[in-house]
Amino acid sequence: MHDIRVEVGFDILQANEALAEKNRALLDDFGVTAFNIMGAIGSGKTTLIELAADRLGDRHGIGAIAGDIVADIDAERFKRHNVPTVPLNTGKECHLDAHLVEHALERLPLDDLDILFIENVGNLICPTDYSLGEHHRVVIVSVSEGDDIVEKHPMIFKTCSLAIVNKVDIAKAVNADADKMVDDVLRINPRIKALKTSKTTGEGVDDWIKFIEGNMNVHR
Amino acid sequence: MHEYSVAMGVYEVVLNVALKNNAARVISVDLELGELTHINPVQLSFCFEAVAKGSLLERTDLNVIKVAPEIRCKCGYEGSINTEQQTFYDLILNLRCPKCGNPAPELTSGREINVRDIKMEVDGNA
Repeated sequence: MHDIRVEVGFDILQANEALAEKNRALLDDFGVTAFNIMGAIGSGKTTLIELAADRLGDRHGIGAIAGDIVADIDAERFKRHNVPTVPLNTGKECHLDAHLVEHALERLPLDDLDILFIENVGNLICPTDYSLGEHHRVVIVSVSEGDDIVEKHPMIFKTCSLAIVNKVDIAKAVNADADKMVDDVLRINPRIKALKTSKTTGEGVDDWIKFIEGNMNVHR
Repeated sequence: MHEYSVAMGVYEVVLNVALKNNAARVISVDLELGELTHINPVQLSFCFEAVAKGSLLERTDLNVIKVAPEIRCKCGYEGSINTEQQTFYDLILNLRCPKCGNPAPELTSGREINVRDIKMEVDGNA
């Protein structure tokens, strides 16, 4: 019996990155642009995806991956908007990773899709570290989470290209300053685009749709 | 917050290497952990211990080596940033090039979860 030392050099996050690159290449082959939609529980991720599906469904093929502890509920919602959806039940896991998404992609009709929404698990922390193979990362927070939610979770805003402050119609009722939240976003990441939205009043929804269409990859 | 899944990942990598080398036991693992990951080293060690129970990796020492963030900037600067007396969140908020002040430099290290090397006990003359 003796001791040996073996150099390994295996990075867990790098392995995820490599798999994410593979997913991205597959999506590129099919001309699909993927959006990783992140945000806290109840921030409005599902609703904003539904709005996009309704507004864009007549001119683009839209699919979804619904990630959640119990994903079937959101998946049913998307299907009611004629969006082919794969539910990804993560069980106890707090984020999606590239490996889970790889298998979900096998079950989607990529040939028919132009846009893929990947709704991540409701969480502002863990999804930050994991690429899925998406082309754009979007973070959604709502005013009901408190107007200090952005400054409390800076890292996720560093990694996204769009931040949405949602449910701004109820800001007063929950004593939150939506403009402060936007300012916080821009201070943390000067390169990010920030929007205020509300499903109830329709504020910002056009800009959300414009962001999606403006960031689609060139088509086949 | 996802220390459990990271611990599982580390466990699988180490176990694979241990099995390939016909190890009788894994003595220690050196793990590089970037300071900008959302991983708490104490929780990670706790989860690793729980995951490893009853396996070749039971009683394995997990040595967590912290890796400080480094950047590469458009201005030509490459290297470390001042992280002294900064909390995790301050570090992220204030991440900028120390030479030119650019608030969006490219991170070249600080996000590792890297199983660097493994020390193990093996039979025979391998």
